[in-house]
Amino acid sequence: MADRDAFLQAHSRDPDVNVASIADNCRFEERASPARWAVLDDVIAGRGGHAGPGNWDDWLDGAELYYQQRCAVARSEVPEAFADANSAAWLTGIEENQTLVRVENLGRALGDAGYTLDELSEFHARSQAGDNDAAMAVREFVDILNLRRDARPAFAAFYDEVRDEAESDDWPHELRDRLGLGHYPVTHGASVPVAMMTYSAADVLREARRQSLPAACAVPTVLDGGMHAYYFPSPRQQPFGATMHLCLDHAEILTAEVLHCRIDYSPGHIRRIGRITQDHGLGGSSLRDARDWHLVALQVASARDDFGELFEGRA
Amino acid sequence: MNAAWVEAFERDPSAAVSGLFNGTAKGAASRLDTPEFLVQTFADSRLDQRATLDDAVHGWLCHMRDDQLAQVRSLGEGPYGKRVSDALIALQLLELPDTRELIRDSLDDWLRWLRPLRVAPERDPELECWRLISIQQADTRHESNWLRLAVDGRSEYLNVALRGLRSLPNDRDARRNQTLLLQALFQHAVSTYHDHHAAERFFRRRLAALRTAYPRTPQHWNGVLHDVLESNQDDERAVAKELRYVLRPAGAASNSMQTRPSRQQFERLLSDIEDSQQSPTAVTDRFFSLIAEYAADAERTGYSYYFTRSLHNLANRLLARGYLATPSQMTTLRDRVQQALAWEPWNAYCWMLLADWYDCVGDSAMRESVLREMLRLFPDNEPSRVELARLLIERGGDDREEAERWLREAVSLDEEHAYARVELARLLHESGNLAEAEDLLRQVRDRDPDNPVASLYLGRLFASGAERTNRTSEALVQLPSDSHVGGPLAALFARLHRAEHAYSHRHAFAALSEPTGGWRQELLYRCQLGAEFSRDERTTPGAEPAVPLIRAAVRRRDPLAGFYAQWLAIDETIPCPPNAWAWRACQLWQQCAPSDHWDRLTQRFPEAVAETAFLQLLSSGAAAGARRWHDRFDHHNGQRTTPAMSFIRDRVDSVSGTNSETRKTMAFAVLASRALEPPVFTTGHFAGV
Repeated sequence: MADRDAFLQAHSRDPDVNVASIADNCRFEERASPARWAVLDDVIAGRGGHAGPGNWDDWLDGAELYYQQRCAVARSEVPEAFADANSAAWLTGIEENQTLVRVENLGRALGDAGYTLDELSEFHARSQAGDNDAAMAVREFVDILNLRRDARPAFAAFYDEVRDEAESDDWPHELRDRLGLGHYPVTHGASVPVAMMTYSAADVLREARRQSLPAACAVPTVLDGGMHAYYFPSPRQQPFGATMHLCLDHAEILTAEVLHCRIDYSPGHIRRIGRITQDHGLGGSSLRDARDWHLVALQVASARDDFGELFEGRA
Repeated sequence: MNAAWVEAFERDPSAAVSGLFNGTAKGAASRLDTPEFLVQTFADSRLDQRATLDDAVHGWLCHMRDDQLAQVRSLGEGPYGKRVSDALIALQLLELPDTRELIRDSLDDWLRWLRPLRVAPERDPELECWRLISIQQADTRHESNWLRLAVDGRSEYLNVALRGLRSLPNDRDARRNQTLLLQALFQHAVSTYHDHHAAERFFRRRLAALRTAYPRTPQHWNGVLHDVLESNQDDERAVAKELRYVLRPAGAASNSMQTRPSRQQFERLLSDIEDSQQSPTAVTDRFFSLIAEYAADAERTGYSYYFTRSLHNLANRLLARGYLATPSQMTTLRDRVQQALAWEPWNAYCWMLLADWYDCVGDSAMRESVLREMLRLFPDNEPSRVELARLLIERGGDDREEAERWLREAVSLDEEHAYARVELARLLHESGNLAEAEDLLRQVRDRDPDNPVASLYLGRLFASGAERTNRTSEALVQLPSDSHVGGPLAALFARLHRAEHAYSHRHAFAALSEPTGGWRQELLYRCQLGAEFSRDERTTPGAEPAVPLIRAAVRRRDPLAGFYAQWLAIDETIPCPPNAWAWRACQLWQQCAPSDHWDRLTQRFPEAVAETAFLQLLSSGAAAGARRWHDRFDHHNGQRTTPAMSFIRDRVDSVSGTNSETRKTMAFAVLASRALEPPVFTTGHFAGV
């Protein structure tokens, strides 16, 4: 553990903001249990073939393998977020009567179904207008989407908190930014076909009961979503994670997010269909600034001046 | 965000791709899966960059395949399968053509590696491979594969099959695709649902979804549906009958101009082949013309029954009469047999026709390969055992010992099987075991006093050796005339005739060019493993198995080699891949595993649940097990079924009364049959229509 701390401390000073941010996320994490860290350390050591974290590439290689072994698992397995090792981060007692929202990438499922996004969008509109054939096409598409998804924990926010963005005409970008989906930067002219999925917390709890999972929901930790710079851990006092806004002007806005177990979608869960076509632009120094604003907001919200460390003034 | 990786890619594409899959190179985008990362990075890239990526991904996949054992030990099964799947998904999403075509050309090689890696519907490298080759199809060669995938009970396989059928080139006639799509849905419904109400609900729901993709008038769809139901009119399965009844559109008529050849045409040709007054050339020309029409019908409707049945019925007779006299005729016939096996890889008659074809052209190695694959796939098939035995006897030496084993197995498969008994008697006679030979021939004569072959060989037996003087009179049995010989015996005589006098045109086929690669290569490979396995089974008990080919293949985690190695109890600590049923089931069988282990195997392999239950029954020998097996798996639906299931159905009632050696034989037969699917006959040179 001392090795790990020193390693992360050293890399938090890396001039590359991505490297420093990933190191920070691990340093600031307060919920992941020692048992989970120990597993990560073992995987990294196993990959590198030596004790300790090794160099940065070894460490990332091990962290990716840990993510694939423990988080992005096939549906026949239970992700570590909902296993006993993560019980400190479980969210219990969540009200069933509230709506969750997340953005799903439709790229693979569209390819499988043989539809374009525009066609799917038209079928969706027609099905909502009562066209039975179109409703069957959407249902078939959702079946394909479900068959494509593994059991990795789903990051979701609460609809009432992001209602403005969700109901905006430009919802794909506004929601992407609000939910901190920094992995959809859309470079090189690519676009990302997406759907806004909304469903009740009851759907999630029911699925967890059906699968006899120890937990349905958890507060996200740094170990649950792969290592990247657009995640930020939240202080242990907060009963939720907080997304990092991708727009620097709004970087102080905190939005509650939770992890929940995989559910099978139904056609009724598709609220809107759209396309992310523009880059969020957050990177380099703006990413550094946004992370600092976000950290300050977390410190204020949790009354924890000692939580985290700003980039600004860092030696 | 991808600038650093792109720079690394331009410096060293292979290292950059490798870094991407092991997670060290994605930087801030680590939450993105690798395929999506590549889509974003290469969306508007130059052609040469995409070609370089294509090449690098292919290289990475080959490395992962060749280095499988070390990779699995380092990563674990889950991440290994995920990374391989991701690479195949990236090829799909970016539509990279070179690797796709390489995979298309040697599909069996890839499937043998990918199929055992499945852990879940979303983590199934084989499925990703099928998805990949469903893209940009230049010809219709995979039509039969899509229809076969559609029969798989798993929804994800049906979805990929439908995608493949939608993408088939159609020469501006999308009705072709629509017909095949409905055919796929019909076959899936009949094969998957035991309740016709559920089958109907499924079919109507999927049909509604298709109508959105192909907006046409109700009259048009009714016409397509009418054609599909018509083409399935001979399907006797209960659900098929009900579905035909409830789905038949009122007043609809086919608007297709093409029809299948009539039964009268077939029967007229059959009779003309038998009629020695007919000109062989004219009869042969009519055969190829009729078969071409049947093949076109199968392609149009997706229903291959008439094509495959007509082919093996007619071609067998033509071969027996030596009517196929030119290399070009033989090449065309071979292509048609290949096409028939692409449609129906579980059709034993077509397999035997392929073996006969190789016999006629004098290719002993391929004939052996076909026969060995047959006896693995079809545990109940006596002709393949007898034919392989004949081939081994011709070779002589140690192979005669193996020949005797196959003949004894063929004899045990069917009490009435005269052919195997006569062959075994011939072999025993030649090796000096006259008493048993006579006994076998007498058994045949006792059951069927008019059996001409038994009489003939009994006569030869008495006329030979030391007993000649005493039993010459017995040898002068009155053989029945040819006019008494019909049905199966006629086929037997034809086969014997061909074998004894050699195919008269064989010399003309010596220079026949046989394409290499594809399924031929695959069959030769499987034959080598099978032959090595058979040889080792005959060695001294307790000796260390001398099976270098199997050992090498099991280190590549080949599922067939893995099963053979497990059966031979070779001491190789190779982790069994997650989706190799026979390999795993063999482990449980050998360990006499408790029931909870079998239950877990059942959950893990729902597609082999009946076979697993049978093995568990063999393992426990519980008397009540047979009844439970019937209750669970006999749905009286007249289902088409795999050879392993037919084998089980015929034996499950006798399990409690059998000894351990017989049970072991039964277990081996079922495991071997399910250890590896038949090869994909659309690879390599393919006879497109």
